[in-house]
Amino acid sequence: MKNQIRRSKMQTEREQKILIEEIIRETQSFASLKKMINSVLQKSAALVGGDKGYIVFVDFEEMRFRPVFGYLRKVNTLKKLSIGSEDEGITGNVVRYGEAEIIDNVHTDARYRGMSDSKTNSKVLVPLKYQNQVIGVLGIESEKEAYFKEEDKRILAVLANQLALILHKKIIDQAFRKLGYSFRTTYDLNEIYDTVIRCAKEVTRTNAIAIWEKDIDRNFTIRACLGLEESQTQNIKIHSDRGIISHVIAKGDFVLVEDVKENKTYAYLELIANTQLKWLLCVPMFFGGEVFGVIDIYSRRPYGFLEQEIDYLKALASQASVALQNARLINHFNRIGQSITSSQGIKKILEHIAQSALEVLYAEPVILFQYDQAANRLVPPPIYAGKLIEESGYVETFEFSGHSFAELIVRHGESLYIEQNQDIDQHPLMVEARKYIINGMSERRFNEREKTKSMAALILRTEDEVVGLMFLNYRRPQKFSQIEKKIMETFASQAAIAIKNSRLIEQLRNNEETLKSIFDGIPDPIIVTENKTDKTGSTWRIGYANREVHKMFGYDFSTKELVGKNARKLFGNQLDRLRKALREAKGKISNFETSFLHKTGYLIPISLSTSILEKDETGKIIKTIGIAKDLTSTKELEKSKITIEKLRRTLADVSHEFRSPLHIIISQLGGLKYHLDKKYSTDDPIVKKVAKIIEEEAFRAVSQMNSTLFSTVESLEAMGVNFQEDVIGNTVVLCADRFFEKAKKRGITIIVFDSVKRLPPIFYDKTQIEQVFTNLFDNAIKYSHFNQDIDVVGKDNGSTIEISIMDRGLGIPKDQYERIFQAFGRSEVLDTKRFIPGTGLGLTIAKDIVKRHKGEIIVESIPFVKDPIKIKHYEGYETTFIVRLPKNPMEV
Amino acid sequence: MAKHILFVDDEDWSVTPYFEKLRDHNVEVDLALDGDEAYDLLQKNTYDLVVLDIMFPPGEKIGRDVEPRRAGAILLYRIRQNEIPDIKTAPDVPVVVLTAVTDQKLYDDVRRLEVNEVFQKPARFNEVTDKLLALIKNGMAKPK
Repeated sequence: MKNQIRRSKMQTEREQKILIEEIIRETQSFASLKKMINSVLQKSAALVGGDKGYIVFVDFEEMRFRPVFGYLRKVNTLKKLSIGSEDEGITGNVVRYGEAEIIDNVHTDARYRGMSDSKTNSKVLVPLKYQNQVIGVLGIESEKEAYFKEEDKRILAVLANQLALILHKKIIDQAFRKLGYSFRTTYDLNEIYDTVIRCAKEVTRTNAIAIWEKDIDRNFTIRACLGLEESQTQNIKIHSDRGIISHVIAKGDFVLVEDVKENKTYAYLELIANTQLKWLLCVPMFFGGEVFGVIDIYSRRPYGFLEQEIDYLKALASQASVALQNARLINHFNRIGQSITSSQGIKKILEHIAQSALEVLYAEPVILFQYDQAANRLVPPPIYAGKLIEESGYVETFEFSGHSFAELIVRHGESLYIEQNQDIDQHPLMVEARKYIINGMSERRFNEREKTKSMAALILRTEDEVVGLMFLNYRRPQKFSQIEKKIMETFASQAAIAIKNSRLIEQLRNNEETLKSIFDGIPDPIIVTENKTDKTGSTWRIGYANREVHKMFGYDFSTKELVGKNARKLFGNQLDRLRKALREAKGKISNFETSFLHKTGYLIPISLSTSILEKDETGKIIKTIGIAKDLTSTKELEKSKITIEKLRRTLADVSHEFRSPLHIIISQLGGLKYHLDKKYSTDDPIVKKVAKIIEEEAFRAVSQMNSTLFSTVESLEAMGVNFQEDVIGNTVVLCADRFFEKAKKRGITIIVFDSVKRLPPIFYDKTQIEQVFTNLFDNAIKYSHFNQDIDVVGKDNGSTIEISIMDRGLGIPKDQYERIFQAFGRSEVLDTKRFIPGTGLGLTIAKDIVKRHKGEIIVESIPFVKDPIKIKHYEGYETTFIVRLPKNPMEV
Repeated sequence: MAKHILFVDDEDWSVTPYFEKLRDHNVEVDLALDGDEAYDLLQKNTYDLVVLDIMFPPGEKIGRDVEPRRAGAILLYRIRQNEIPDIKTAPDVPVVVLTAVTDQKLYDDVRRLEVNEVFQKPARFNEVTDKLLALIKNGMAKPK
């Protein structure tokens, strides 16, 4: 390989020129820098008859060679040379003195540091210069000693001069090409800054970079930097009308400073005080034609920056601008998204959006309207962000005429951009709008008052709906590039989505509130449970419990005591059983019998109907809703149902036993009469009368039995209680009056005292309580002695009332107190003097009714006669039946 | 020809007073005290009218495990369905119910089997006897 290319000695000047041109042309045709340089070196070597070659570039920061390219020789060795030191090698020396050199034998050269191959003997080295500055070295080597001549030096020098710049440009070109995909879409600002720094450094080999950006208050601060005093960069703040930045803003383009330390405008000397930095290139980052940031690139190179480098850095700045804008946009809308889910309300969300527009799109002020698609109009008042020049209560007094600029824009259907060279007032829509001025509206339009020079009116639209209109006002003339318009459109659509989501969530929340208030009113207990997962694991909590739940289980509804508590508080250890049943039942269970815990610890039997509201991605149940039915009363009801069933049966039997003998009496009587009539052939009037009386009394007995017993059973059968508020005194008096005749026959007066009549109205079932007092009066009369009065007294106990019926008569022994209330249990007290009719059911029924009213009947029998004999025979007792009823059974 | 009435009631004193008057009107009467006796008599004689109680001891033929309160309905059902073997009485024989039972359901069961009249005990002597005589005399008023 080594001696493939031999020098041909012909080499006329013309031929040389052609060869050189060929080499130069080559540089244009290669895609790969490396391949291109390889070919160049190969041809260069051939030009002077050498075997190998290399090109190296100076890294002025490190004072080493980087990058390095070699042809048929290793180049890493060259990277070890330290330019300007003892170990700079011959190549380094060439850089230092800037002169081409021929070396006949490297091994005898004192500067040689052994960076060539061992076989190499002679070299020719030529500096690559840019603007009289050595930026690299081209070297051709040969194994032969003293191979190269002056002429070779000259030829290479010609080549080198042309190559220097081209190669340098090529290197920048490569960087340029990579620039397109250097910036990933990211919302991490630091990642973007790092990319900027990396790219700038790669091309310029600089070690000092600073990236500045503008605050809301128009001060520039350093957001990222390389190679500058850390402590200094934190505190620095420059207003946009100072420093190099102010020049950049004024010029609207980059500014190049040759000697920063000497420059009078340079405002941040503290940054570079201890450095060797000389050159500063300050490149602006734009949005809408407005400088929002700069990239400062410092350099120690004597020549500063190549034109291509400046182009590259401008392109870098432009890419960075877009990346930063996008990142900012993403960040802002992430935050807005969080605000939406944390339920801050639409107004707050709109404020966030307007504020974000200030920060991301650099507008001031920003005016944001909501749009009601259903009503086809914009909804005032608007939200604004930024400083208004004229604080004229603008927001509050806003009115739409139907023909205002804003409304016309929405009808127009497209976002509007009025840029620096356009007069807002000349825009056709504005001209149209000016035709209509309503009373009270200022003649000077908003843009005049606020000195708006450019404007964008963005329609905020989701797929199916226009939700708003946002005005971005700029007080300096702006020009929006395609990319910038794209960013604004992205902002607009993100804002629309945010507004739409807010509305949906607000609707949901309202629905939730409506639902909750509906649930609160339902008299059945309704519970929503949620499975919440946190650091400690997942627990089931009560997400919602209506008033009835709180009431039933003894919790305070006004403080929503149960909400948020661990569900086990209510469910106890039934929770797991319930969840299992729910899973097995595929989401819905009805009438699941279980018991819940009252706050005080006792269990209340309930029947629960529950269903799944929500599952997570893995299918695990995370929300359920359930309605409970208190089974205690049902169970009581069951019990009383059984009693009634038994009663019925018994009564049916009783009735049968009662009717049969009566029928026999009547039939026998009939037969007897018939027989007598036949035998004595008379129609004896006395016989007739007697027969009639017996027959009538038999029927009356049956009728009595029907009315007192069966109607009671029937009404109990109806099973309902109908609590109505009424004056119970009236009911008592009514019942007492019914017994007037019966009582009178025994010399008894039923006295209803005022204390009864004065009782406050309470909630009770009239029909049933009537039955209670009927039965009690009936008893009182039965067991009372002759000529003794029956006293009826009332008492108000606050939450309950009492009505006492006292008779003076046979009394009830203490051990009989319970028995008399049992079905068919009659007091065993027998009055030897008379027969006391009765079925033994009256008190049972009365007790049952009172119990349904959540009340009680108490009996007390105390002797009032001093005669011990009479007491022994239960002859002188005051028996009081006390009926105690709650004023409102439904609240017990 | 003499008419024939069958009474089915375990309480004989309820119905025996009617017999004198009925016989005086040329009506023959028989009394069955339980289901078995009813079967026997129905197989022996052709009756023009049956007066029965809803509740009486069922006997073997109706079924020892049957409740007395169901005996009447079952007997009537079998008469109507002609399920009594060798019965001499027509299945559509007029029937009068005379019972102390008050359970509406039982009444309904019986009424569904078509009866001419229902008397609830206690029933007036003349009312019952007049009705029976009328039913017998008017030829065979078919049950409704």
